[in-house]
Amino acid sequence: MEDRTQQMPMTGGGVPASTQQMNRTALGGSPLAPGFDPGKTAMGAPMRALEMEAIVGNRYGLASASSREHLLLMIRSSGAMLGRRMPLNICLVIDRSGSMEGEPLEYVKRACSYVVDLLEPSDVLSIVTFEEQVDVLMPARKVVNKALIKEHINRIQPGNTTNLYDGLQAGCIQVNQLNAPGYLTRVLLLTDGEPTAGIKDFASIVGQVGEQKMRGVAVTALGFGSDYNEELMAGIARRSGGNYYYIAQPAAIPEVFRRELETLMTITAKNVRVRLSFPRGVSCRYVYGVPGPRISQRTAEFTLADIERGATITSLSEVEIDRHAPGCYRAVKAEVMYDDAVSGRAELLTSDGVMEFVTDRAQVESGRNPVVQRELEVHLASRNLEKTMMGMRTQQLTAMGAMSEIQKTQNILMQAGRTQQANELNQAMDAIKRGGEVEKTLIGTIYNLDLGKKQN
Amino acid sequence: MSQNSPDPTRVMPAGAPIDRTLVAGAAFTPPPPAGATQMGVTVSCGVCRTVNTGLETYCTECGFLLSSVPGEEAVPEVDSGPALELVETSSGRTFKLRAGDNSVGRENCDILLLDGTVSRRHAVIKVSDAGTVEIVDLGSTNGTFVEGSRLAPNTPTTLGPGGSLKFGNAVLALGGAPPPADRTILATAVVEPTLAVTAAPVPEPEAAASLDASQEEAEAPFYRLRPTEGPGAEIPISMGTVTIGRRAGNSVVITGDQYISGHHADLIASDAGCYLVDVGSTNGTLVNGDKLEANVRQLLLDGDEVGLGQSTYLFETVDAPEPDGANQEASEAETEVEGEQVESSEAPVSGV
Repeated sequence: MEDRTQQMPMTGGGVPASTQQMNRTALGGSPLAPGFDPGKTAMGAPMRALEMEAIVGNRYGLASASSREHLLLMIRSSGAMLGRRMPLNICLVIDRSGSMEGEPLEYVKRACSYVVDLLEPSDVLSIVTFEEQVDVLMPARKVVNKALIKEHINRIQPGNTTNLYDGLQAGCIQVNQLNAPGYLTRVLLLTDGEPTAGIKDFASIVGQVGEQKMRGVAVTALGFGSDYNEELMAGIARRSGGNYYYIAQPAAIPEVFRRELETLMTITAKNVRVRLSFPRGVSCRYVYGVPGPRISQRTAEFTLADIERGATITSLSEVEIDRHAPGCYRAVKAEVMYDDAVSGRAELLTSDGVMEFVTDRAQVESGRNPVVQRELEVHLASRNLEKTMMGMRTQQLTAMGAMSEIQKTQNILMQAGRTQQANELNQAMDAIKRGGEVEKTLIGTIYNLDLGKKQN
Repeated sequence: MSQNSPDPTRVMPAGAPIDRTLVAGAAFTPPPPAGATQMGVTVSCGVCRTVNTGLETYCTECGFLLSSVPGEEAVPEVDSGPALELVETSSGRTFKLRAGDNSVGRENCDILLLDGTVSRRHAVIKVSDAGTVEIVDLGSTNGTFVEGSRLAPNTPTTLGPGGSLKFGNAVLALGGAPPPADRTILATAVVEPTLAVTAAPVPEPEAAASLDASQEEAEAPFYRLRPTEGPGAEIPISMGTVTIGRRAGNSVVITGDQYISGHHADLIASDAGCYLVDVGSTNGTLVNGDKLEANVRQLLLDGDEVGLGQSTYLFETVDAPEPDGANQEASEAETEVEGEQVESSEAPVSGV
């Protein structure tokens, strides 16, 4: 591997030379130190989309006792416009069941045409529609003749039932025909109802999404109207790391498609995989918010969602720490591997989470890291929303009770800087007042909180 | 310590520097000495003795900052419970069991199993101070299985060592602290006023009736650890493996010394010699002042000083076909330790 790092000596043991060391948390350095400095980066280090830092929940640990502690990974993407965007390889999978007839389908056509307008000739598009039958309206190809593609779109006709599984399958086949490393691959699934034909159960559908995820295909789930299954749609997004949207009104469909497309066009890091390695005496108990983490005796591995320009993604995990002889230790070695849109290659970031074991209990109390604490509160807030949702569903919680719970959570989120999700909760509270679709918006907020992503 | 010196014989004056890498032979790979080797600069970890390449900032084994010096204070063991653990078969993950109740489930449990077939509150594993393990299913959806049979909910079932457990689809085995079937010797921390240099091996408190004929040679100790300092009593070493620790179930149980771990070290004796292994004790095991790396065998030679907890022992071969040599060594050792007799006035730091 070419050595492009000039500040660091060659590291042995098979670690790529482009490994970047950030020991800011070591020995009392403030974890709040400025993370990304484009000017500095331009000086010597290679241009990369991401920076990463591993932070231990407490700088100090009590030497004489075992304890539980939290680890936070903070992955920041530069807000600067660097390099070209990744070309897209997307498939629009459109529900054209009978319930979509009329206004919804007209807006969907408009939205699809809009997507065609936004794409460039370097992008690849395919369109699949499904009802009882699945049709490949347009197989995967470069977006060159936009007028012709729009003609195809305008031929979409409503059908009968909803065969979501097969529709999704066909969409994945289309994107996999051109699933090259340079492309950002995504399936956009729009539906307005429960699956009513073909394979219908949650486990099979989400399992299928999980398989596609392993091939680098993420699914963005767009739920429209009041009849779709929000558990299923959020489950699809969660399993694959795609986004989840609730579209209440047909007129909003084009706008949501535009938002999703613009998000995709600013992604600077995809295929983000994390590996945490622990020394003897530290073991991972839990990784918050990610589907199917692989936890073994000395490591934890999981994937994170694609990261947009200017976004920060955080990942929190819980570890069990045995007694240690007093001294300074690395509690975790974090490695993040990803495909970088800026450098155009696979990159590896590493960071050490360091803590000092001391015998003074008061010192341990003083060492808590407020950033990690806040992230933990956000996760607790997310669990709290889940409980609120369950409470409403089982009617153990009145509308008034739910309102006050959501209000409380909103305050926590505001304090933690999650303004976007805090604002989303306004929609949920409006929905309670109007007797609308509370769960469909709440489940989206919960999912977004669990993704751990926010704009800088 | 010359790498080129001929193999030292087993009979060496006590206290002479010995190149153990040569004595130990090629049966296992000894850690290279700290400092320069052909491979480049290496750094030995101050805590766990793992040898790291000079490029590492932190010890690859225990994470210790290699450029720093470990704190001097020994940390007393605070938990007194048996060090039992559950091992997940698929991943090799271990979950420590503590004395008392250990909850098992998918959410907010001591033993957290992230499997959809595990209920949120699935079962409770109760560990008594004596180390017996009981398991109770809490009415889980997919059931708790012991040795393949499903437990009735809310009915305690006793679990034996090595027992297999299944919670939903998660398969685990009970491991750690296997109570050895051989005899148990209580080496209490009662201060013994006499230096039992020539004392006969400590009589076995239990009748030898429980021993098989095959273990006959284990009757008489071949080696011993003779206390020279601290509260420890003599530890006779017979052929085979002798486990040392604070917890009942070890072949040698040392009580009353907080610096001894539940399972602290093993002595493996054979005709070829006696090896000492620290099994990952909290406060470590010393041989001639050097801390042993966990789980690495160390050959003991006559006259070696062994530090366990608050006590120091002298390693000696007991079999006496060479009375001259043995006596000489013994008397040497005796003079060496005179005056250092048991001054265990320092009370151990109690658990914080």
